[in-house]
Amino acid sequence: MSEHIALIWKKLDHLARMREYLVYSLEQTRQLLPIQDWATLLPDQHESLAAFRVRFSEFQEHMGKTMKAVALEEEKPSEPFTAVLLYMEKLACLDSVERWKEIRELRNAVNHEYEHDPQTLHDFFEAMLGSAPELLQWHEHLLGFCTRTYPR
Amino acid sequence: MRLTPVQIETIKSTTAAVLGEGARVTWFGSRLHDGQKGGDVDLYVEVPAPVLMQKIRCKVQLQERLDLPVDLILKPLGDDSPISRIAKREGIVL
Repeated sequence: MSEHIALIWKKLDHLARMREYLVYSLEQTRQLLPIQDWATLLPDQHESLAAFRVRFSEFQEHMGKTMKAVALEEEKPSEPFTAVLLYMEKLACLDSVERWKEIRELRNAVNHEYEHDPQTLHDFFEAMLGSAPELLQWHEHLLGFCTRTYPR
Repeated sequence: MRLTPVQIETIKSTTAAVLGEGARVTWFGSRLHDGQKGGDVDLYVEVPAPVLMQKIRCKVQLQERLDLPVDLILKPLGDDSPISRIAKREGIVL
């Protein structure tokens, strides 16, 4: 196994751990929504929501880095990042480049728009809950490709 | 004005396709001014009922088609928040 393939597997192992944390947070957040009154949330409930937001964002971020490493290994273009996404779509690791970008934009909005409005907060979390299963599915496809292509 | 007629048409057609024909689009911010450089395309859009994922989809498509960073604010019709007042006062309706 080459050094670079070993690096890809290191990333995949890390991604697998992140997936476990994300799945846990996803379930915690599902149980909290819909939130009738944000003002009455307990500190540990706020923490659950915050953990989900961070884990959702970091999971996609790390999966993107792993995809880039695969593109490099396969000697495909890795810049701009859209080239990596298009390659992933071709490999069927990704259903839709546009959908990936929408989820990335969603996490940017969640992380940068400081919202107090309960409806907006609710919409953010509903959208992340709806998108997380797609991320998890794409991860399975990526893992399947790597398992077939770079056997350990 | 630092957008071409084609870019303006792209903004109008994309917002109409994603947000509906009733979307009222106002362009404001630094790209209105010839003397300035760079900057996002600042768009303020009013629709009858804003939907978060529609806003995100619209922003992604605009950035793809314009190849420029876009800052999109989506508000309900007749919104009177501070940012809407600035956009309406300083911007131009497309």
